[in-house]
Amino acid sequence: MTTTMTNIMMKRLRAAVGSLALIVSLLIAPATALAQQSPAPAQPPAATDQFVPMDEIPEQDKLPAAPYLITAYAIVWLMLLFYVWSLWRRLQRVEDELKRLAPGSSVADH
Amino acid sequence: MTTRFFTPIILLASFMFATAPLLVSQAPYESTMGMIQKIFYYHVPPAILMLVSGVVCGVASARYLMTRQKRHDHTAVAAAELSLIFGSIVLVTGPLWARKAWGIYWDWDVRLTSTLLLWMIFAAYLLLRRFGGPGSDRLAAGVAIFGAANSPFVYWSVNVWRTLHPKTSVIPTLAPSMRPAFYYCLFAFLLLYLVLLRARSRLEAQRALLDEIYLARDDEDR
Repeated sequence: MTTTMTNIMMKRLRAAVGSLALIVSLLIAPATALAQQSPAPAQPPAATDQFVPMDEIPEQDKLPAAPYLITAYAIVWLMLLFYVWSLWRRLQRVEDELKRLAPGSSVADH
Repeated sequence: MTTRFFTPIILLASFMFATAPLLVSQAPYESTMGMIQKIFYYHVPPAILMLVSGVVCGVASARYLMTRQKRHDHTAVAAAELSLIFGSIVLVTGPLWARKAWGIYWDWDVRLTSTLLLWMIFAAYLLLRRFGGPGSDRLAAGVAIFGAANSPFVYWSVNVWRTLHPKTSVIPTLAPSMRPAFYYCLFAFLLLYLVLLRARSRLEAQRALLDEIYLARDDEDR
């Protein structure tokens, strides 16, 4: 009985290891082929080991400030306008419902 | 009421926010960061109000837990929502500024991380209020007190830990030529905050009134 169980377990283990090996080989093969085809990656620029002032950075390495600034201001505007609009809508909806439920009654001030 | 209440808000907000960029454009460039530093005028006031709103929410929640007066709960909900809104502004404008100034959008430094944590606490508060069911108001009030306790920590963190973020001494030592634009923006945001807090509290009060009317109608039907 014990021998049969051990045999079954060994078979399952072998099947699992076999499947794993197959999956790994399937994953590795295309990656290896791709690596052989692709050209060598460009070397990154040499790292600086000291502080470089902003005005000495090469022009191509500088990020333009205006798009970030304009985006930031636009997002603030849009978020606030959207919030005011959403609050106005929610208030109007509740007030309409209050009017519908209790016509003629004034809403208690908070 | 809605039109009467919201017309001045929209007019005031439109006027102040339309004229703020004029003052900001007249303010001088900061010597090391240049133009991108002008995000400061739309980044710092919401950051201050996020922290203030967190404290308002915590205090109102504590008062609600002590007195069980609904008006404190309404203020707490309003302040939590505004803390989330102003926090969102901070968490969007900050990374845009950082990308240019530091070369990265985000860094897990203490000021940025604790601000995100505070934002998440108030997001959790609002989710709890929305989906928590009966009794969630008291549970959420406890969360709000934790949020309020976190607010001074967020503010002071830059003075205790080494961070990329500037310290709290920036505003007291601000160049005199930058002050008019900064205080104008701060005032504009503060005014907007107060009006929105009032409007949002009112919405909460009216929702409570609506609930009472429905409950009374249910009792009558029985």
